[in-house]
Amino acid sequence: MSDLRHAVRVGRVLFAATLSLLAEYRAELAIWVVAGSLPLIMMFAWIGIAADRPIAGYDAAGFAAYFLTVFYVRQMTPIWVLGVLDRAIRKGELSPMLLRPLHPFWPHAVEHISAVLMRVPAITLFVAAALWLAGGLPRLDLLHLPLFVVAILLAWTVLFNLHYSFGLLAFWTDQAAALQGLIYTLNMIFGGGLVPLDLFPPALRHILLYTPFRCVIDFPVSLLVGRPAATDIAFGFALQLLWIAIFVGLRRLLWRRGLQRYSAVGA
Amino acid sequence: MRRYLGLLRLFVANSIQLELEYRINLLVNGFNSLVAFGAGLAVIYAMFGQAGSIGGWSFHEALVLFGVFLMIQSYVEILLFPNFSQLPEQIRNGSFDFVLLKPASSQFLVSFRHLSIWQIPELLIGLGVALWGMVALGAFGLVPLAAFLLLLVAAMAIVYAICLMLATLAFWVVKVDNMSELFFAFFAAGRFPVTAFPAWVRLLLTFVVPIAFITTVPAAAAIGRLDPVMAALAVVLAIAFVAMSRWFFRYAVASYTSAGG
Repeated sequence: MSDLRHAVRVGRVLFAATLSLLAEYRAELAIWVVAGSLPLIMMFAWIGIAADRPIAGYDAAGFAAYFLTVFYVRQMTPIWVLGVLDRAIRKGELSPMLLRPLHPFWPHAVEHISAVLMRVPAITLFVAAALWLAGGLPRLDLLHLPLFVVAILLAWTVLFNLHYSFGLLAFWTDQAAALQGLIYTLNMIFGGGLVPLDLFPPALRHILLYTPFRCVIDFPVSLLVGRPAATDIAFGFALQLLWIAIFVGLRRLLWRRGLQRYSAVGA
Repeated sequence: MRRYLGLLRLFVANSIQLELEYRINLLVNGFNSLVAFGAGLAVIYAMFGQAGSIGGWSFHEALVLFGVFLMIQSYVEILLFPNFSQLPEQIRNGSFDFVLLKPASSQFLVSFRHLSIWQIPELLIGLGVALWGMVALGAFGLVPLAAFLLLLVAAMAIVYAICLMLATLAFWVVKVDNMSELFFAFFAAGRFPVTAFPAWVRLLLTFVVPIAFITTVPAAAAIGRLDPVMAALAVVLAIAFVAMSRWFFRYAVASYTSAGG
């Protein structure tokens, strides 16, 4: 019981400290939002292509609904922990964190969650307004909204553990930061961030349905705009949980092994 | 001028020597470039699988554009980003003083000191894609080629000016490290011809953030579908942007008070 109370107190302090820190960097948040606008650019390009006739069931409003939802999902799952870890491990900034009676994983997680909490109101309003303007609102299956929220939470967990695992590779190599761009590209292309997965050739699409990339963009988005069957929904959630289990396991393994090698800078 | 060419040669030699210490970078960056290129190509294929043209551009014309896009992107990563990303830190901790003390133009030192050679594969991929499209179109006149080169230089000048101005903001705003993200966000639209976008976005990308002059106009020149008015505008804009960025940088340096000042 006191363990739980302690955890709640630590959590509250961490969140309060991180939120006030982030409030200092509001302008930076705005920049990150604009920096994530690639799905919106893709939306305009696809709407142009669908101007004459619908493409594979997507007309202009369909593409607007799809890509605005992609934009929303991406905005709710921003992860930059890979670079943070890489830096902390290579420059020895990890050492003081190890002295605290708290696993460094938690401050990192809280920092990310706080950033999302800060942007929820503004982004939700923006996307809702854009959906309404583009006529995409009637295309959404709003009954699936609760499932959509759960899927985003799970998507965040998949992505965070994935990035964290690859960031821990900095214990072995000084090239870990370069993986950030690679993960981003694979995510966007194979997750459905640039092209809806149903526009890929069926053979490729069939393989892509099992990847973690699909779990973090295509699946949450499809809940809202794709009208998936109940079995597809169950499969999607199961796949998210499976990838979470895999990446949490990988992260814990790499952390244990890496820490044994860690000698900080100059030691 | 001779002195600056000599300095430039020294900077390049020094950067290469430094970078050769990290040879594994070549592998990592080469692989990254290949994946990004494959993803971009997959998007173009997916789009042309559904439609005969994008904004009035055929598949091979869009390839030339994609090639130009990759070339400009790698130019930013090879030259502009390594240099300008250092400026905010130099201003914050006061080491910009040492740039000012050196007997050479500080804008030159800030702009050309570093070179990141590992993004050169991306440059070559971009050139290859552009040539692939041009060969398929049979577009190899002397005039289009000359216009292409001229407008590519104009595009590079515009990008240089934009990046310099964004970096110069660091004299007043401490946190501008992410400004480059802002540029890349808009620049991502440059992989499609501006005609692919709705009218208001097209206006935005032509006159507010001049992405149209950075990729669409040079690519249009390469395939011989260039509008002379746009070509002239591109050159005028390039000169205006460079002049403006130079003025802005000098104005910023004049008001620089070093760290703690």
